[in-house]
Amino acid sequence: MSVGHIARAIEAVGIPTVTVYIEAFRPAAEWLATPRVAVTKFLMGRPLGAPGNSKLQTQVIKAALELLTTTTLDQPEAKNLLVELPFEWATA
Amino acid sequence: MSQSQEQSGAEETALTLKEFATTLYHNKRANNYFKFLKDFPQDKLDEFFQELLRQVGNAVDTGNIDQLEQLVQGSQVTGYRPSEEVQRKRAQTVYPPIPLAILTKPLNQSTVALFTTGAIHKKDQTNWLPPDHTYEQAVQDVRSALERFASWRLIERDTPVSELQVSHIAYDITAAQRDVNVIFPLERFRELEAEGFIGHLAPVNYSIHGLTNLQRLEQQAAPQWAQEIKATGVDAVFLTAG
Repeated sequence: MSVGHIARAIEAVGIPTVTVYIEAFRPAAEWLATPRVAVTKFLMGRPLGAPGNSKLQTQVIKAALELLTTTTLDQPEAKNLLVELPFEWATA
Repeated sequence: MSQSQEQSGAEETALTLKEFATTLYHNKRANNYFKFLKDFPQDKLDEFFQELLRQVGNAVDTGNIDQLEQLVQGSQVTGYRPSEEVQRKRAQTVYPPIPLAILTKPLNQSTVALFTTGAIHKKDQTNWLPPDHTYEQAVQDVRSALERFASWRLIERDTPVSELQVSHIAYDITAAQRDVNVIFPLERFRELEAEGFIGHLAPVNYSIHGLTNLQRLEQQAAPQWAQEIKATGVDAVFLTAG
């Protein structure tokens, strides 16, 4: 919950943010309209993937960072962005 | 001890499935990995355990843990689904979306800072809570009038991960203890910088203990931190939660 408030505050001063949430926390991300959200289908405490699996972690991080290049400037109303990342825990 | 005494002793200590699931919540029995079962639908608990055992058997036989992991992960999502009461409470406060800020440079020229609420800190930095604090004590701290203000720890970009410690009290930290990059990816970001995917990892990165007074966080700490981060001139911030 706290991460959403922090992301909102940072985005509000003009710095783009991306926040990686596990799927179980997605309702909180939606409630807080966390600005840019990458959702992973992983367990709590492991938002970026399995320990020791640097390949999976890097895939997740790169996909999340790509969201930073998205803006909603061309849209009349502000809108947060939420993307489900496709990566699997065990097979990556 | 006679057989009947043994039996009556066993009956006194036998837990129902629901009671057992509840003991997994911040209890000696587990390290928070399965705490989501506390709020799991009671009428589905037996199905969960039955399926869990079936998948453990499959995993042992085949060496493939995919379905076991998917069962636990999907069940965690179910366990954390907000109750109707929580949904009603949340509906009373509407957070309007914030216009998305613009990344003014390409990623490979941008400086990115890390910010986690997963309570990562350097071993020589003070922990947020006394080390012997229980979850219940921590929640009381947060709710009491004397609750400390949320405080952050600054972590320099070249800090060896061996100098980091995980001290969050509410999520299962065993994976982060094995490899802190699962939540605070200092090493991955140093690699992404070397690879040229990002311009730079920021000189200083940030960590808080996410279990804190949310109202104070929202109204005081977070806006102040945002200003301080802005003053460092970073181009973007990458955040994670436990």
